[in-house]
Amino acid sequence: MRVIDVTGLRIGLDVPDAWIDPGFHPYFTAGAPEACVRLGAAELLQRSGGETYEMEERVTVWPDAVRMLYREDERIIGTLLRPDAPLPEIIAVAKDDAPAPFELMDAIKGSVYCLLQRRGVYVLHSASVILDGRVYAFSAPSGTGKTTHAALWRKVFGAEDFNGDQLAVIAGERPVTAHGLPWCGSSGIARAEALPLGGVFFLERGKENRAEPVDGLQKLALLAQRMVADHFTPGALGRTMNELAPTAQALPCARLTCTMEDAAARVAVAYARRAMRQEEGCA
Amino acid sequence: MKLNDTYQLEQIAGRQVLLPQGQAVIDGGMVYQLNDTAAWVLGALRDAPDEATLLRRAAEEFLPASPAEQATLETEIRAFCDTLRKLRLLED
Repeated sequence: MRVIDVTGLRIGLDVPDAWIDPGFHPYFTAGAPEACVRLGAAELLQRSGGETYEMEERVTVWPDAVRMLYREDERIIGTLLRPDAPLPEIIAVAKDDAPAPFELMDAIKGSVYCLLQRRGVYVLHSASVILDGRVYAFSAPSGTGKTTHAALWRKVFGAEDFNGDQLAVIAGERPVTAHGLPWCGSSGIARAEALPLGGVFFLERGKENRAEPVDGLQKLALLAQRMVADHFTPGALGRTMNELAPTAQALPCARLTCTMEDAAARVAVAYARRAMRQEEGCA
Repeated sequence: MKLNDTYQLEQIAGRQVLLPQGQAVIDGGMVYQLNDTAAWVLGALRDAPDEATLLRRAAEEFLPASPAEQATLETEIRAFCDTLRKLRLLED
């Protein structure tokens, strides 16, 4: 069985090789799995009760399991996570036997993130680049222009891509570090590395370019709410915020109102470098 | 009066905060930071059946020293309750 290491969690992929997406290859590791992914029958998804939440997928939570149902025309129609099984397992139910490696990788993402969250690992929905040896993340709702802004940093400052859609942080880790993930939306940009996280910009589309610091509870709330995590079960958002509080305190964050022009990257990079100098001055 | 039960009063990093719960989080519910007085009012609202009871308990808690202070207390608590209603955090 192939095993991947995702931010310190070893996951066994108990599926035929044809079901393993190449995006997982840089994460192959040795060692015993701490959780596993396997394929299962549709009956596993048929269960009543639980609390249901409507997101992009329909999520139902029971004390011992989490079910995620996708659109009926998807190649993977749903997953069932059993986080408290002796070996926590993610069971994916495919529409048919034809291998669908990319769809499997995508479908198990939410369940893997649930398992990571239990270990204090949170996934920030963001496009991210590397500049001056640090990762900078741009977080905003889909369609705001995260990818476009990352492209401006590449074009104007020669920044390198880190991940097109998300990165992981470990609550309380010092220095705050961006951990690469195999999942990257449709961008195809995913580096299997861990680098210092220089800062997070919360993007808003505007007619001018302006970066303003966000601090205190506002920073913590923005950061927590941009995490792809279980915020919806009772008390979950509060737990997330409390766990992320030390990370938020150590992480420069700014609200970036920006256009789609080069000047937006100049404003953001000037802000980032200023924040870095201040941090080094304090160290 | 009834507090919207999709929100919960919690301690976050040493602050009193009103947090959305469940589907309200997914639907983009706001996070509200409260001062001590606001947190007290929200706590009292949980078991105060009406505004008169809330005002009486507030007077017992904050001990206004004069009729003028009592009037200010009542005005401010009523204004705070109106704000909660506008935010749909409080239902009559």
